[in-house]
Amino acid sequence: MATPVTVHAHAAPQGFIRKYIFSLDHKVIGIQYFFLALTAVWIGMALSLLMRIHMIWPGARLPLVGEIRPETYLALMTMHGTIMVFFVLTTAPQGGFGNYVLPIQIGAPDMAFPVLNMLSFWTTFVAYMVMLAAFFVTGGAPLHGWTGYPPLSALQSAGPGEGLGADLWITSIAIFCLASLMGALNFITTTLDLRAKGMTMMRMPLTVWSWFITAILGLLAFGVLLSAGILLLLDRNLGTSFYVPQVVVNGVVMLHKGGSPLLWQHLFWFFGHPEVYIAILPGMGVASQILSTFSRKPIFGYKAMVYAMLSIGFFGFMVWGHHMFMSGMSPYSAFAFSILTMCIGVPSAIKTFNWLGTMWKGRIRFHTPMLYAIGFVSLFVSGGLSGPFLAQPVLDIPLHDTAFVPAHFHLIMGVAAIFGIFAATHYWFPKMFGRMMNETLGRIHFFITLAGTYAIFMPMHWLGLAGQTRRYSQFTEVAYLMKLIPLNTFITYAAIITIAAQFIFVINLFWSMFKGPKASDNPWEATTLEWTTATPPPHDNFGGVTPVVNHGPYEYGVPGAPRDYVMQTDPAVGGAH
Amino acid sequence: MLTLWGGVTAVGEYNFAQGDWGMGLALLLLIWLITLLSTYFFVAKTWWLPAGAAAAAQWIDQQFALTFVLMGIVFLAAQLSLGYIAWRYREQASSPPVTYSHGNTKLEVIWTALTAVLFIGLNLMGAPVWAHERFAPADANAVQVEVTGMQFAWYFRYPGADGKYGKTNVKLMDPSAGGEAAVGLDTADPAAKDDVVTGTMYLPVGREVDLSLRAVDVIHSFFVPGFRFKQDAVPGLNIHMHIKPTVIGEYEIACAELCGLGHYKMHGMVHVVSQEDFDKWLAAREAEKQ
Repeated sequence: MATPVTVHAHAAPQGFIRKYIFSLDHKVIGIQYFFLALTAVWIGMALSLLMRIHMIWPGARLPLVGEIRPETYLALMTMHGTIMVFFVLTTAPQGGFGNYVLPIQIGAPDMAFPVLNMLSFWTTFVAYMVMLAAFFVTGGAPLHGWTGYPPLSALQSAGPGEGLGADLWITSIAIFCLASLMGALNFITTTLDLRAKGMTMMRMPLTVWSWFITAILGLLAFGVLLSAGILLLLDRNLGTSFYVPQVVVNGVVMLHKGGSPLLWQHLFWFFGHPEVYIAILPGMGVASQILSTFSRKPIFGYKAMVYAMLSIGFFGFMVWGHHMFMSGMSPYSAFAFSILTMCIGVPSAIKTFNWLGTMWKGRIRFHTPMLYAIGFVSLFVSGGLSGPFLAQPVLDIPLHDTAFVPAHFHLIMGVAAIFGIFAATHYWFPKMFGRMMNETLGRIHFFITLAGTYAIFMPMHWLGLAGQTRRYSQFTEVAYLMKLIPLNTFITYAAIITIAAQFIFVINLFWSMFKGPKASDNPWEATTLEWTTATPPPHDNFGGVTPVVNHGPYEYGVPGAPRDYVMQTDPAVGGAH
Repeated sequence: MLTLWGGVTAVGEYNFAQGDWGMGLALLLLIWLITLLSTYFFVAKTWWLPAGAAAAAQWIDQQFALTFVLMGIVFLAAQLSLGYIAWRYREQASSPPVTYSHGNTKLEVIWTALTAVLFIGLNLMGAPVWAHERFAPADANAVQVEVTGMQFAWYFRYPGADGKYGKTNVKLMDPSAGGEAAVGLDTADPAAKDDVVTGTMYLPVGREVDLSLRAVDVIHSFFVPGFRFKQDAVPGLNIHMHIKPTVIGEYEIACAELCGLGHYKMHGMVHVVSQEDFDKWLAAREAEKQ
């Protein structure tokens, strides 16, 4: 905080390339991440649509893609999961909104390391291109799923797509890890060193806390995935045996010896579990910010919210084994992982309680950001409550690797996180683009998407209970699965409608960018620093002024204050914190 | 009632007269509808676990039922209050000023303690079942069966009268030949003489089975929903598990770990028969071998 901020200042760039392509400005970089994620989410969603169609009509010939074969289905599935997890759920909330908003919310002129920031975006971009290239090489994209369990992912002969496609897949993830490590370093340094005068840690908006904790998780998790990925590349290409014991594929004895398939699972999930919090924590921050703003009340239990996020981050690193109850891992350790997983339910419950407490006796304004934030809470509860089933090893016996699992994680880290992104988009759009988004379109999109999401993912719980195994390209070979086809057909129709509704969001986004009514500096009557500066903010965020913070982040309804909100930079008033 | 720009104008004044009563009600109705419909299907058990047919099923199903009731209560309470609060506290001309409060530590502590007790208590209640399934070895008189998974089939090996599995050798494995050759049985080994390898599993009812799970190429997972049984078969590991089938009948096996392009058809059958029929079946297989 004592660091003189002028050190980091850089002049506003001239010329198109330095301004919009290789920009050092965190705001431009944030928008670049956002648009990268926007293209990725459409690709990921299109892949899921093809999967849903193939599940129901396995023989169908589709325009452009032709007939989907079982291996094509698995390639679609692998790429759907990978693209969504890395290039959407990790990229948009943190790289996109974190980048754009965090420096402004703490009163800094930019990120601590602007060049590193630019580098991490362009490294992410390279990773994205390498990932997409996997579709176009001989054999196509890999079929080993986003978790890439060896030996399947380690042996070129284990199936189509396990050749060059799989190498590109791992290489892309490794590059992505580097980008995320650079980003994490920048977020942490910026939060610790560049806060404006008066912006103590306990005055930071909960969004800043969420991005800060997410960055710490990223710093600790991505390094492990990077190492794991390098070992997998070595196993695949240089004949090492980190993950592969002696195996025989289709009658051919492989040269590997002595490796452990479980080693990958431990390393992968040591990253993989914190990753789900990397996806959802920023959504929690955004939901807190928005629920408080539009309930016109201080957040209920600010400190509890901070401690809850910290303990979610802390416990998040100690529960990875709950993905491995059926893996052959020691059943004794399953017991420890299970208890620790249940512990993580406690801070999650605190957050839900506090969100409801924030809305309780508020004066709720139903602007679109608020609708998505309410949707976020609903999805977080629904997705969260299937957690205690899967966290118990004994219930995991029937549920593991059934549709119950995708039902659980799609609700909580998939769609809840996406609702966080929708909420953030509608909330910060005025600041980012200087115009308002259309609320009518926003409301229509919200209602269809919330209902559609539940129509897709709630029935998956029932499929999972009935024993429907995951990652089956079709249900024609197992008698009990054939009985579940009608419910699967319902889900496919729900998915088609919900995906169609996403055009409403995109049309609203682009139309409002150019034609929306001009936004004021503080259209939501919010309190945090981004609303104290111009819309859109100048290059150095505050136009040469260094903001001084006098208040906590959520001072709404302060008795004796002239308005129903006290901004963080307002002079000290009455009893405001 | 929606106006083009909803309740917001460019200058940021919120106009609560413009149809937000409708918005609060719409939220309440949608959230309640989703909640009640979902609850209905969970309670009606329209799609549910298949009937349990192994000793573990009743214990697992009991823990399931308990978890469902408790999580169901939390689900209903949270979702119904979310919908209600959204509607009840919508901003109106008559809304009182909000209470300026940063929370309530006492409520926070009570709530935290309650959830901790609920979650951890629930977990501890399920622990003995897990211990029985995974810590305890099979009964001494258990039937020995070795399960081998490979792309994309299951093979079952019975050790025969000597109670000993013969040696297998990776160099002898020939999946296209099926049976003994597929698992690479070394016929030169005396202990292998009476080993029976089949593509369909037979088990006697009411007796423990000592399963030995193996995989030759990639990871597979042996999943029998009726038995509430699942365990990965991992190359390089020989994992011992036990099951006790309790109901005569036929049960489907589905591979539950992604194993390649034929994962969806890696399917098998377990026939649970009387001890007498099992002995007859095994004797017939031995006879075929000679």
